Amino acid sequence: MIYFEIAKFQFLRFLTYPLEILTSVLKRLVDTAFLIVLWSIIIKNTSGLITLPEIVSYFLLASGIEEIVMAHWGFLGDYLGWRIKLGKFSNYLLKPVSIIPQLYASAIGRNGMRVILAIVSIIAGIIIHPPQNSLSVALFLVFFITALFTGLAYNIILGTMYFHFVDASGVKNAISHMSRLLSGAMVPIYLFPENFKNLILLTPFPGMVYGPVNALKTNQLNQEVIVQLFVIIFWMLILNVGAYLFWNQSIKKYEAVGT
Amino acid sequence: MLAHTYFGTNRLKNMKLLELKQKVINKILLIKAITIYTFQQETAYWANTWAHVLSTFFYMLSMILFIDVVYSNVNLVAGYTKNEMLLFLLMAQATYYLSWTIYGNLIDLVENVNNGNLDLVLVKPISSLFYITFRRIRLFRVAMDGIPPLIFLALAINWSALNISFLPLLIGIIISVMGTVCSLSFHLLATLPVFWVGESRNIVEFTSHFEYNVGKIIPLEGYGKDFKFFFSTIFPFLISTGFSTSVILGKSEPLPTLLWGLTVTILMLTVRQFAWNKALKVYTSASS
Repeated sequence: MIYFEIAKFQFLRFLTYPLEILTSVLKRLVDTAFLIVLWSIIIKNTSGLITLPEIVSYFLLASGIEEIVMAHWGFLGDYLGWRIKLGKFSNYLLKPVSIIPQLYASAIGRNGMRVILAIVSIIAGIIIHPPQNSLSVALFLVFFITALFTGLAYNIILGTMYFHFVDASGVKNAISHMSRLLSGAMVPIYLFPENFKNLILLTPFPGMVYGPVNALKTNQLNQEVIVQLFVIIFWMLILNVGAYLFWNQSIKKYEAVGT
Repeated sequence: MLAHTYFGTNRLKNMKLLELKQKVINKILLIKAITIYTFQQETAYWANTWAHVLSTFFYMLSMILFIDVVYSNVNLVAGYTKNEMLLFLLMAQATYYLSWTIYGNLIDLVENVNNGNLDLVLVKPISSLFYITFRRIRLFRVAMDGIPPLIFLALAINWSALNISFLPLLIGIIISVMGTVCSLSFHLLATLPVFWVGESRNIVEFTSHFEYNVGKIIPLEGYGKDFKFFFSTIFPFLISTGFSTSVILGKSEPLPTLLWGLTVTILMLTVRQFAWNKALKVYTSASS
């Protein structure tokens, strides 16, 4: 398959810069390690409400999922944005393959090592705090697939903004900062005050990280889980339709001068 | 004869003094010119400027919300109350913006070594290390990006709940400046491998990322004794925010902490100068 070949090519191309890969992997490890250290300090005062394995597992899963669905800084959005900004986007328009899958495969390939690390992180999270029954695994798969599509739409919207601004990095960063908090990547959403938690769960952000992580800890299909699933699927559809329309409108306005 | 020697020595002293005065004036004039030039560069795209303000504001908002959520579940984190943690965040952000004024020069150095532009710096009649460090001072951008969120954060703190005295506050601010100097010196050391291997941008980015995680998220009291020592000597990232906030809040003794910070700063500046001289010796121009 052509997209697999694109991802593989970008991954191999990137392997020629070992220092870049090493530092990118180290950055991610440092991020996760210090988040766990911080939370291990915080939970000392929760009088056993949250245990250390539970919180370690949560952040290993959250950081892994956040990376794979590209909710963390949105590397597909970033990649797309920079292509537009640097005038290199025309190259993608000329090729006889669909643009978005092509960009998606390129972004995955370029961040291949981080994706591998993310998978290791998810496996470690599952080993530390395993799912209790097969329902948890099934729910995780459903939530994870919706998270992938929500993340895709989120990234397309972030990247497409570059068609309209000379440099959209400021706006993109502003959204990313809020996304990190509201998706559950920095704080487990069950720790938010009740009213605030209920409000956040109605936004699209938890669907990208908290949804799949929480699914692994869920052992029965109650009303709360069904409502959460409904909200996430709703946002997945809305965002993907929105991203599609935004993309189609924006690409018509694209102008480039090149050799 | 004796009088003649005496007046000769005196004249020599006066000349040296004048020379030193002229050098200082030259450096001040250079910093002024650099600041104006950087301002003109930074204000070229207003939309970008406002987008960055929005970004830093949202970052601060997300951090305040984060602290709010954490403290809705606990009363203390590493011995810090919510207001003390907000002060820690304020110090972390203030020192971050302070170092950000000249941090970009380190990345420029990597490019200059690779494209040979460092030659132009070396032929200038001024200390190359001084020029490299202060080539661009991003005062305007930092003020635009930093001041609104810092004011917002300062307003979120209940100052009356904090017990802050004047002397520890003053010493804390001095320590935070020294800590910033230490961090920047460390980042410069991380830049220098470019002279040997041709690339170091990733190393600098990693060290600044590491500094953020070590020094700007967890307070000093959150670390064990060994980590405190390690992160205030070999990787001196705890000084600018951890040490200073601890002193301001009266959790650490001001004078010994100041002395510690001063010693590490002097050591870092010495190592920085030594490493810079070594790096220049292996520099071969890349320009044509």
